[in-house]
Amino acid sequence: MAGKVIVITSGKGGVGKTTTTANIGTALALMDKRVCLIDADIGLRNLDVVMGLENRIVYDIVDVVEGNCRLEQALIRDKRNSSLFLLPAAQTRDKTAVTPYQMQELTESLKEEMDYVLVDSPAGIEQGFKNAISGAERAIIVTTPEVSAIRDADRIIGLLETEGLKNPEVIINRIRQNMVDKGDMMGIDDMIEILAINLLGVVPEDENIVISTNRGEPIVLKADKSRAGLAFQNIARRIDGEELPLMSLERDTLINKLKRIVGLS
Amino acid sequence: MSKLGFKTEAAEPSKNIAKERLQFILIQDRIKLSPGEMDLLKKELLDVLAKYINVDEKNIRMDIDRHDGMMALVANFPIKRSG
Amino acid sequence: MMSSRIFTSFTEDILKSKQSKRGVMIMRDAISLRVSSKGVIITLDPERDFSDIKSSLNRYVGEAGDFFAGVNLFVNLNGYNCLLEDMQELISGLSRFEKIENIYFINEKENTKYRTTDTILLNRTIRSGQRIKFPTNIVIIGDINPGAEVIAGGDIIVLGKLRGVVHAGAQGSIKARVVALVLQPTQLRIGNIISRPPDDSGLSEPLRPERAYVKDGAIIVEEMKL
Repeated sequence: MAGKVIVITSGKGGVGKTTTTANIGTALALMDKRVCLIDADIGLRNLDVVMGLENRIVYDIVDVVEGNCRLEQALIRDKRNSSLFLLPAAQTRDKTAVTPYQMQELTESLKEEMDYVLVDSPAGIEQGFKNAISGAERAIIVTTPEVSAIRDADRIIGLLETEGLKNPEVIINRIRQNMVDKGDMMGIDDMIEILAINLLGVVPEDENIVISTNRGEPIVLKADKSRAGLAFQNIARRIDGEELPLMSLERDTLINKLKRIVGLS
Repeated sequence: MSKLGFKTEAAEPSKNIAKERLQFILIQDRIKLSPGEMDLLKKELLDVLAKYINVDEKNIRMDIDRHDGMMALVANFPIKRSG
Repeated sequence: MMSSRIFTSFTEDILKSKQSKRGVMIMRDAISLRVSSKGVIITLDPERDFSDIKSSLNRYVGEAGDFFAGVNLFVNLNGYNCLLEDMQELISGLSRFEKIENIYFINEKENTKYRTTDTILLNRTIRSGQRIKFPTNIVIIGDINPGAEVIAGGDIIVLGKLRGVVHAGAQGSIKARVVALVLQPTQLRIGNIISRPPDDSGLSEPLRPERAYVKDGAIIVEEMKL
């Protein structure tokens, strides 16, 4: 069984890469897939905190590449889902502690055991980013409806193409429909027109994300109660090959638009 | 009254401004031309074209399009209607 | 009044392997190898018998093969009182490194080794990403923030809030203790025992000095009587 290695990246920091990785990973695991999340942000690890697993770390990715432990020893099993694993980054080292080649070896051996290996890339385009993409065969770019984030996403698309990662897909995070309606936020169509890549999903701004990060519980665990959680669940299903149309909370239907225009909603 | 007037004046939604700025920034990022070089390019193209046709200088548009890993500089020089 | 909390403890085989790899085994070697820009430096442990040094050296030579081909070898006597015949034996042992360039003898005292009974005093807060490691006791006047790591051969005393990862008795001693004015570690290790606060523990932890120690193979956290 050879799984897929997918890198989640963005260029700009703070657009929600780590939250996205945690949620897509959890959602895939809830679909009975075997999933491993790799935190490639060495020196600034965060995926463990978002997953609520920070107090279980004994070994990390640098221990694995330096031979202080075996790969299986460094994998942390999620506390809610037995088919989900985390390979944490080292906090007290820097990006140069792992080379792209080592990363590639690591993802090669992980994908033998997993259906999906999701790599959470650090912000930026330096070595940490190069490490993160080196083992990946598919790339997901997270962006927000801001000029700076889209500019960086565009730069990343170019770099990924240079590295041979063709056809990256984009997730638009933190969209606020009311602002889009007022014309104060770029809409999905605007952004897709500019970036000219496939749209994997849209995640609405949701206060529950803050709460779920506080608790260390990915929001997809409560997908029935939150719009963002549902959006991440849909994205996971699309990643797994399901043809799923964008839902009304992701993209307004024509009827809703009309309703708003005539003042019905 | 004045409130109403203000509202209609600010008709240009900020998302359009964002989009325009972004398109301009991305042209420079994608072909790695500075704004100065871009202006120069535009001007030289205009000079050449102006020898043969009557170009509407105010409405020149330059975009970078990307399809399947290929990039193209698309320059739009509208022609002035004569007469 | 005295209350005690029990952290979820687990003894990991993996930690044992970490111990043997990082602590005990390295201690047992009478020589240590280091690569510098000039070549390979072999440092002798001056407190060991020559026979120990010789057998350690023979093991390295056997394992190395022609790995050091073309490099210069520096033998740091490190204050070891070397007899001429010892030196000759060393040279004949070292020349079995295949294709080695030159062998130099130097005598530079390595930083005086700390003993486990020593204590290091740190007058600052240890922040995320920082890693403090001494084979001694460590006293910190300041906090240990989440994401920071403090590793001590002996005890760890924090006159502040302990919120990061600490490892007392890192060479395997389960007699080591951890004391903090506020003890809310991400993870607490003593010897080869790893523990973490229970998953349901909220942020309403007590603000009072506590002490952690090992009892019957589990880490016990208890309030300190003042």
